[in-house]
Amino acid sequence: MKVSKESIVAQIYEDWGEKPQSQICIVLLNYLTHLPKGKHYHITFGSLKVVIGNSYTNTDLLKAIQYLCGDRTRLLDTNFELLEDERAVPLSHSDIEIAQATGELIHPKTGYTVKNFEEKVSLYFVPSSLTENII
Amino acid sequence: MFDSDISFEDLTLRQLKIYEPFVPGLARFPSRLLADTYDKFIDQLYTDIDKIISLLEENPQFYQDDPEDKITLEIKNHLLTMGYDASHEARMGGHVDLAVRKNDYLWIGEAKIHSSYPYLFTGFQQLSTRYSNVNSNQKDGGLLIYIRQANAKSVMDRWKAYLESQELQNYMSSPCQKKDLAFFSTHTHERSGQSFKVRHICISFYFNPLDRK
Repeated sequence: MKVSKESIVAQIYEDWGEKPQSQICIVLLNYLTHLPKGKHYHITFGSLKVVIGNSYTNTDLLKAIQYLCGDRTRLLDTNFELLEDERAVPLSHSDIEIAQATGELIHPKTGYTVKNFEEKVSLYFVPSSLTENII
Repeated sequence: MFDSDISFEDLTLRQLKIYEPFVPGLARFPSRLLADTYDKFIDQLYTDIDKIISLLEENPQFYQDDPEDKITLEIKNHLLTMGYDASHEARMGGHVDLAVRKNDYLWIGEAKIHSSYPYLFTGFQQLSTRYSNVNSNQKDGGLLIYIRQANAKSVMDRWKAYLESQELQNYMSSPCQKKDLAFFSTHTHERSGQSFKVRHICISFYFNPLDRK
């Protein structure tokens, strides 16, 4: 289903009003809609920070990311990966779910328990399917 | 300043927890993303509603004169910024105070400022007989009870007793493990014939600082 960019912008303003998140979300909306379609992306927090520039704090951006990953205005999908020894190991949502329930992350390749997993599990983002249907 | 001093490329689960005091709900951000079943959605929603309520209850002085709708709107706005698809909908047989959707799942809430138990019961009836359409994707609701008088526990205990006296079909109640001043009721939903579960949620806005007297 196609969605107009104007309607998303209107919804963002309706939800955030004059707060910085309105501008941040719109900058990110423009960024996502200009990415070439049909490619795989791996968008980190740091790369989104670069996109929005230096005018906003980490907190400002985190609020916007939380919102854009939610069901209300889903522009970003979230994935998880384990960062260790300069390598990234993809994690499934069920890996994370079990880790959160048990307090232990089992390494998906070695089967060993990952120590201090919360410091090693990173979130990254990909454009949601909605972004491909914005006109 | 804490926020701008820290530069990082990768956002880890640990960082979400570090920023939780600045971005309410952020530590539970992955749990919201992972809530892919109806039961997980409801459980996560209640956790987040409780967090929002505790934020509101930190400043009861701000809510002494507000009407029901204004307080509920504030809860809705908090949910929106957490990413929930929350709304105040003029549909579903009337004007539902709070509706939260995730895919095909729907939770509805009715809010009432406590003035009497019959008045709370009108809210419960609106929720049960006007707005809800119980099916596998919508079998829970919430009654948000804004209490401005002292001893919220007494109000909730009396409300529970009042509800029990209403002879609802197959009525049962159970304590809420997440929040002391909340409880669950279930009864047979008249229209669908299925069980409808309601979380009765206390929000205490009592404010009477004795140092002013």
